[in-house]
Amino acid sequence: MHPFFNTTGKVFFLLLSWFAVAATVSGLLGIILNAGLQESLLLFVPLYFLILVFILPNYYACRGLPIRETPWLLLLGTHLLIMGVLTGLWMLIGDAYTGLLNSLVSEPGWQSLFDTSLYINLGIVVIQYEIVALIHYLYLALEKTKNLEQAALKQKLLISQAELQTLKATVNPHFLFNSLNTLSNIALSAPETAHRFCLLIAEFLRYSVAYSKKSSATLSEELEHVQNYLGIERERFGDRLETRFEIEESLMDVTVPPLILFPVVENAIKHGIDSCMEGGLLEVVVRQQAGSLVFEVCNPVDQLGRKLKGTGHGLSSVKQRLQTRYGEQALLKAERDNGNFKTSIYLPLQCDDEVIPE
Amino acid sequence: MNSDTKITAIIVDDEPHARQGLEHALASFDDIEIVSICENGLQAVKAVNELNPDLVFLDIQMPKLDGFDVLELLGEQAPCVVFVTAYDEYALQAFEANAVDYLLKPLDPERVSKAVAKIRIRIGSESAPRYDGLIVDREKEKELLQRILVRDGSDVHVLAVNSVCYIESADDYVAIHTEDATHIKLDRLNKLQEKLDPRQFCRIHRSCLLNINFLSRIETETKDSKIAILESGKELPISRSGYSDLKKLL
Repeated sequence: MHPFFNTTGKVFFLLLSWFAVAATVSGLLGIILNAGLQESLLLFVPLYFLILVFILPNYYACRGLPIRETPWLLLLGTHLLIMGVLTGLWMLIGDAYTGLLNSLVSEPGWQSLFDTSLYINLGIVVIQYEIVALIHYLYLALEKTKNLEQAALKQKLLISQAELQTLKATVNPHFLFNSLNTLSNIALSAPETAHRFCLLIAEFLRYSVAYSKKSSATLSEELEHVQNYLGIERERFGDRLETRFEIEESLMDVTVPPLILFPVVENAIKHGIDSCMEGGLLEVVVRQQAGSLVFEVCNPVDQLGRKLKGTGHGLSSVKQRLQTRYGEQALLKAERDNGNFKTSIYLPLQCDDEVIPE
Repeated sequence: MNSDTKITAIIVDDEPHARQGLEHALASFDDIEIVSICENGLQAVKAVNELNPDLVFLDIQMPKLDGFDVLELLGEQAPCVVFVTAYDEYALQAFEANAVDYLLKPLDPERVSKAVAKIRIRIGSESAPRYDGLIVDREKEKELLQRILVRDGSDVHVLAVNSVCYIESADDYVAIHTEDATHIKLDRLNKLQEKLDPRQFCRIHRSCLLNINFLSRIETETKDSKIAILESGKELPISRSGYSDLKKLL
């Protein structure tokens, strides 16, 4: 649908203004050529009005051939071709219409008026075509800017949403309650352990709060955060939680979005280790593969265990964050194989320049 | 129960520190004797079955079998219950389960001693109302059952609904047949059927609920009687209304 035709108001305005254009041009022609005003209007107004029908579809040509992305030869050629066809058509129809007028009101003036003004008319048609094309290109450019602005706004919104979700998960009441419980129990028997436990929680919370506002962190910072989290959970789970880390040392300084690893590990604990009566081994592997940073978390899962509410919510938030930030370049994969669950994140390496400004 | 005998209790919690904490909190009450400390629901069922305690301090959120599952499995054998949990969202269910009390973690010593007072009254009274099966229908009301819990003395089996071939009813019991075993559970076939996926389980007979994934073929014996042949070769009679239900489903 042509954008100028999507409301009746626009159509009405367009027809009215085009009528004014047609009338003005026809009137001026009559005066310049010293023909009668009446004859000139009768002959040219319908013809110029008709041009509109031919010119407006040129919007689709403009949309299909964006100025900057189309080779200029193709652009020029296409428009010249359309213009040629248009003027030819206009000439044929004009000729036919003059003949019609002639047969209705027999007066030799019609044909001579049409003939003498033919070149001027063709010139005007060409100019009109160019003006309309220009208007279309302007309109398209404005639309594009608007769409870009909207996309940028949407992206910003998505990012802040994802951040909020991460923050919510971090300071979620269940986690805090669980930690407080553990602390209260440790405090009675082992003050030293209680003290260390407090330090872990403080470190954990500090990172969560500080980095949810930053746009990037190093892998080592992220891993330390995850370690703090696991330290807290280890107190709670006791023997049920075993962990194993396998990290490629050279990757420690790579930048990653902050708080991107935590939700994956949290998910593995909450829906994996905690679903198994005997607990199990949580494995974290960080490696490099074909220009990507790969982060893998493996954990057992009991398929017949109780299902917790809100399964996978943390993961979908990570997925959204990755997509907003890297588009197709990043990937979150979750695989289930018998009693094992593996979550992998693929991130492009060296992504400093792609950091989204706050 | 005589007033001079101790109240026997077990503690059930999956977190080591929580177990210690509760044990510590209860240590000052001379009339409560902790006879077993369990790390999960399985151990809890076993301990209750073997030790028959008066009381259980039961955590709700536990892996595989949660506190309510433990009560469901114990049925009428369940002792008095004090729920101990970090979350207050289960309070309503807990009281429906006829719990003596509902303690929130971290434990407040004053609150614990109030609970102990309540326990003494409840256990001292003759007609101690215990768990009454009300909560079996908790929360799952709308959600379809994914697993069936059965108990055989101290042993607990968690059966995936998909592995169940057919279920037969016999008096107050149901016999749940999987490919390699049969389990007996105190339950009604009607009640169980309501909680199973009607697209998967068909009541082919008044006393038989069939998982259609295990159906191999239907044979006509006489004009009016049909039998279902399962993949295992097992033959099950189909009633007339059962046949029309089955046809609709297939």
